[in-house]
Amino acid sequence: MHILFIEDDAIETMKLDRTVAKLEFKNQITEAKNGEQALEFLRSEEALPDIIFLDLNMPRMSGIEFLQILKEDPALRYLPTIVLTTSENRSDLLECYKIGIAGYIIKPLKYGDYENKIKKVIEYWEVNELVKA
Amino acid sequence: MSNKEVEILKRALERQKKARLEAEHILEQKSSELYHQVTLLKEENERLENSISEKNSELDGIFVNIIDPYVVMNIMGEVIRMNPAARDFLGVDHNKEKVSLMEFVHPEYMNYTMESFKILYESGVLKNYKAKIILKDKTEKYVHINASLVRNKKGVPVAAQGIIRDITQENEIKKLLADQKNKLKASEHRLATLVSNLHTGVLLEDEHQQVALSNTMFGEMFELKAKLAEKGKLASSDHLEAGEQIFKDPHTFRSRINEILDEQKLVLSEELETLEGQVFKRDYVPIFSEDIYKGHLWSYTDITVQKNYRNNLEKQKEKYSSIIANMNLGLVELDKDNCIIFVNKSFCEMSGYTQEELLGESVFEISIYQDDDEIVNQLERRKQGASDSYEVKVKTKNGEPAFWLISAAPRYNDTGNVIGSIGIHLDVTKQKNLELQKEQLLKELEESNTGLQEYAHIVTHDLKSPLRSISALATWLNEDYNDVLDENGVKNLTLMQEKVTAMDKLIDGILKYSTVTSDTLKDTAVDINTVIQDIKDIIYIPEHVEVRCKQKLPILKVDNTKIHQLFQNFLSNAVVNIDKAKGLVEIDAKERPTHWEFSIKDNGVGIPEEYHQKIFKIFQSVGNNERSTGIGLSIVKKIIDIYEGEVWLDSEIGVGTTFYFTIKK
Repeated sequence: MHILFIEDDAIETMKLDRTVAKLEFKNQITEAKNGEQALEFLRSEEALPDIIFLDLNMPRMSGIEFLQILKEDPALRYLPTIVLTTSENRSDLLECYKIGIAGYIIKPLKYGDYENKIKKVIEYWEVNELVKA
Repeated sequence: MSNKEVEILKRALERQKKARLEAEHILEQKSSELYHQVTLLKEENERLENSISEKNSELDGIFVNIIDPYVVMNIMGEVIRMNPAARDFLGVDHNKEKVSLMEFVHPEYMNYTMESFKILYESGVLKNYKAKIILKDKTEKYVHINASLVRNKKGVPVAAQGIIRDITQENEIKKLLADQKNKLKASEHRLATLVSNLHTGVLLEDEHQQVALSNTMFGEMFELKAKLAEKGKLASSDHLEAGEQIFKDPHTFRSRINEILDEQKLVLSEELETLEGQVFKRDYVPIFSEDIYKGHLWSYTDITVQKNYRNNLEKQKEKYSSIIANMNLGLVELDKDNCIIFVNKSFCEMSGYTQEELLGESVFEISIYQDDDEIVNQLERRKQGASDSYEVKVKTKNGEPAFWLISAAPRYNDTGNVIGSIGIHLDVTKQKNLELQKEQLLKELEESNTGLQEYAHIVTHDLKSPLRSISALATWLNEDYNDVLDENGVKNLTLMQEKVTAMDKLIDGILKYSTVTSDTLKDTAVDINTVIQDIKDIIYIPEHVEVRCKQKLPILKVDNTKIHQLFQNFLSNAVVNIDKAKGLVEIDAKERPTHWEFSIKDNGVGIPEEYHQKIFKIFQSVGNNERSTGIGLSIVKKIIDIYEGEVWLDSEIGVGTTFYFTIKK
């Protein structure tokens, strides 16, 4: 499965990489440091990812702004986007679901819990039929 | 026979022959004479006949030429002759049918008609017979007949002739006149009644100063009722004498009367005051007929009430005028065309314009009122008779903006029609500015509140993210370098994880505390029993602790999330602080007049009294529990404050603690 991971924090990226590396099936991770980079990638000649993991708190373009642009794009709007955030702000959660997301995962404090959650999410999407570009 | 005889016979025959011839001759002569006579007679006869017919036709012409109907009847009353006018009038023709004049007579006039016939028969003439007749077409007519008797040569009456005149119209006019007369009489009578019952005392005197008429009111006013009843009529002197008795200045009364009578000129509305304080108004009206003085009319009216009323009215008016002039409210009166017809001093001060600048101006031309639409709308409502209060933005003469509160009402004339409007103006600029300021502040506060909440979320995120990284890194150190780490190293990493956890909880608490505000409340009916059950499912309850409700709890109209937070904090606190082998947390509720009182009782360690107040302050943790952040109870306090309740506790060290709190119904 090809995952586009949009996250500015290096350690968060390490966390995901480490988690994914432990999984049985191999997954391809494309990293983007922010929304602009992610859009640039999505609009390039490269193959589209299967799902997107999106952090909300990012410099310059916030996760919600990215999400809005994504959902307005006739081609990209079908990409399942899972929000990965520490924000328990209810208004953020509502806003994301309003725009359209495929999941809202709150990053737990403990790495063990994190691994657990991510594993479940990836496994869930692995059993799903995905929109192949 | 002898010759002689024959001779004799012959001579005799001869004689006879001669005689016969002679006779024949005479006869012939006579018959010719007769013939001549007959012819003459014939001629005469013819002439006579002609002359008769001539006379007849002459008469016929006369009949035709008589405009009034002319009828000749026999003694039986049957028509034997009638002219065309009679035929037209009666609608019958005696040549075609038998016409009896008696058949026309109206039954009411039958007797009179018989008598009239008698008179005619006896005296030979009938004059001025007037009767009602009914024609063939049932119309009724009044007729006037003059008739005369016709006698034959022997002087025996054989017929009667008469001329009929249609006097129906005349009769109607007469009737009308009679009616009018009656009406006039009735109106005269009414007038007399009116005069006698008039609220004005009336005395009518003729040119000789004799009283012609006086009414009841005059008697009452001049205290002459007794005299009037006694004598039935008043004298001119009664007027003067009684007047001297009742009026304040008797001498002037008499002299003035004499003066007026001398001048014989109209005098109106002279006021006289009686000794009893009444005020009478006197009018003197001289009466002239064709420039000749015929008398005069005195009339007195009691105007005491009107006079007092007018005085009162004037006093009231003065009072209100001075109020209006001196009040601190601006007053404006507009006419029908919305032009200013009155302003008071305050309005001039409020607007900065002088009275001269304002009077006569249309409210749309002076640049005071800034909201024309509102003014148009309001003035339209005035025209429909509605009163209203409204605020307008205005600009004073020196250009300063202001807000006025206008209470306006329509103005009516005596007949109840709207003739404009009146508006009372209160300068509410200060209040309005304060209001606007308040609105602005509220808006700013709201914004800053939202901003603060956002800020809290961002800060927590920014604080939590590094914690997650630290936690991950520590975990990895433990995993990846397990073989090189000694016991102490592992312990330190574990401690590090614990501190990170504590820090995370603290940040969560601060976030929760800072987001408890009243402006995000959504009050719905919340069943507290369900809330407790939900919390029991969520929080960690040690095996040895039992949480139970002493009775069924009420349903409150509160914000679901907040009430959850409230009970969750109390219950979490209660269950973790139990040192007994068998823990028990009991929830109870009591209804008070204005509030619900809840209690949460545990058999835990208890809280020393010196901390009872402190524990509700933020960051004050009194337990030995490392995980306690000291924020929980301050969140509780904040929520209870929102619902206008109170929180307090009973506690005994080693026995347990009971928290009480109230929530406004």
